Amino acid sequence: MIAAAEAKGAPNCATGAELILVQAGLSHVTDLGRNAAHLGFSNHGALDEHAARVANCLVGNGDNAPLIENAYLRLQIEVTHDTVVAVTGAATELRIGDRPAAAWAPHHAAAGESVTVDVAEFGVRTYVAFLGGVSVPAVLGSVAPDPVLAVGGALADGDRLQLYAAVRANGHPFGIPVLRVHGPLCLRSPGPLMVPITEGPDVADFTGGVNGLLRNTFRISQQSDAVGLRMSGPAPTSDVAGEVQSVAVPIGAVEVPGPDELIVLHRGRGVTAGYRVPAVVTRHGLDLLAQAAPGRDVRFIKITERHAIENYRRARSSVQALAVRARRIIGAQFAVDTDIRG
Amino acid sequence: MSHTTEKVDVAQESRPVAEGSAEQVGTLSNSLSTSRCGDSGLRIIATDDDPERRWQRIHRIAEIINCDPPKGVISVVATYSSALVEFDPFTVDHNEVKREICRVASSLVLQPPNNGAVFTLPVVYGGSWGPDLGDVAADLGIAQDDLVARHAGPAHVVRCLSHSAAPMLDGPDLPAEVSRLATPRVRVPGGSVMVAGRQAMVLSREQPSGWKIIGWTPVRMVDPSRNNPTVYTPGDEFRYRRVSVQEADSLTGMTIDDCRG
Repeated sequence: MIAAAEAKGAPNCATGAELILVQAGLSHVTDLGRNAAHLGFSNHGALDEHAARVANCLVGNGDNAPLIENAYLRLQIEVTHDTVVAVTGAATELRIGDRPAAAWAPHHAAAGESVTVDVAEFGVRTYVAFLGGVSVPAVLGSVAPDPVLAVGGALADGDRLQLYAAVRANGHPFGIPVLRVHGPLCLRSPGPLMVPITEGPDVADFTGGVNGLLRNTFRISQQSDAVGLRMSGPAPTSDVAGEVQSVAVPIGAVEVPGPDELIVLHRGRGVTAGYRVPAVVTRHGLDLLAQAAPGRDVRFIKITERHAIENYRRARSSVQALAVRARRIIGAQFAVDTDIRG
Repeated sequence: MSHTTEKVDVAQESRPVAEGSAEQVGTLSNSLSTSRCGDSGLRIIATDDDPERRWQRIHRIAEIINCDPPKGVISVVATYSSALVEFDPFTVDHNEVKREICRVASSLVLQPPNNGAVFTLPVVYGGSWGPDLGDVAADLGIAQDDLVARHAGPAHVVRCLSHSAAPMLDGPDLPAEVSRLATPRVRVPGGSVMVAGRQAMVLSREQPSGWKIIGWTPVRMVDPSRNNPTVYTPGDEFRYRRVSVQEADSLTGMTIDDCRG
């Protein structure tokens, strides 16, 4: 039992299953984020939302179960009990013990084995989900890290995390190719990352609307994080002078603080801002940007809200179908011990 | 009004509602518009002439919807004259969300948010605690003590919640607007008491800011150990009480809940 969990009254899992962070990389526990923008709290959830959902669904979890988000560095996690694990996002492969295994698929990891994810060749963020999910305290309905709410934070080498479940294999080891899904291939293609946007609330205040965004290539700068990605390039200019009264801005809002700079707000964004918003990156576009490293070139493509929603619904529906299949297959292969004492 | 702003005809779009009072019907006409805000959001804008009525309208709608969100609606983030409605596009789309907003808006009775709680915050003014106090006073052509008296004297209404629930409030009564810094500071400590334009704010955490800092409070604005970590809501009032550095030191650990009254 970790001290923080005790202090915050996190559920005590009698399964005894734990993760040991042998190499913590740049990782933390998160979920799909906190829905408390009306109280002023940022979402702070998994930046590649699709990858996080798929990782959870592949191990039979609900799509919002707490999982590990890691960036840039090598990650190694030892499991104390048999479990089912899936890795998605930037990683294309992993190792379980010394066996190579594919990303975007569920695998059985036996007690004492380590799950190792090396530095990804393409992309930035990797998601590691374990059956049952990681047991950490939630505040305002989410485990996503927020320093003001004193939730979460960077994991360190040697940290131990409890799992809500452990499994016992019924017979043969796991390995079901039908559950293999594909990550977005565009991350690996050369050339600029194509990021869809819709017109924003203040598009009429900009010379040529969003054309200035569509014509140019922007480069992601080092000063990019979960709050937002800074990009350099010839930004569109606003016709309208004067300060903007503070308004609530959406995740994905494109802000133009200066003539050669853009900011795309991501899930850690503050809920209010005083900049005009010519465009908003779509949910799919935000997932792509979550995997775009500093130095990557970006081009924006304009689509309609209807088009964006249709694409999003198609992706979510396929994840739902995947979750149903995964639960059925895992249920057939494993006896699952769960113990959630709220 | 720009071409991206689309009038919501409340009368046409709303479902039939029970006959209301004349006052309720009067609040409907041309009082609300929407604009696009991404695939998961909608901005709603109150269009009343009176800013106080715009603020009341937006916050009433936000309060009602946040209290019992319709299917697919995540939250309504209200500021002054507008709000962001966040929704899950897997479940609902813009038109369905607009219909829900209209349903709420059509039976709205405007009133000030019915909170009325008063919080009194101890504040250390000037020096390294309020590095811009001298500049702000000089720009306005008033004495520093006069600026402090205008800030610390009367109660100020909490208008909305900003980053990490930092309260945004009406600013003190001053002869002119307070300008922002040309170059924002990268790190402004939590507890900073700030002014800009006609507004005021108390930071709940360290963050970048271009607002002018006139003081600092030792009070913890957010208490994560509570079920609802924010104690104040829009419509409440803040008063500031000038204290010495020594007294502020002795108040370390004080929470906003201790400041009631």
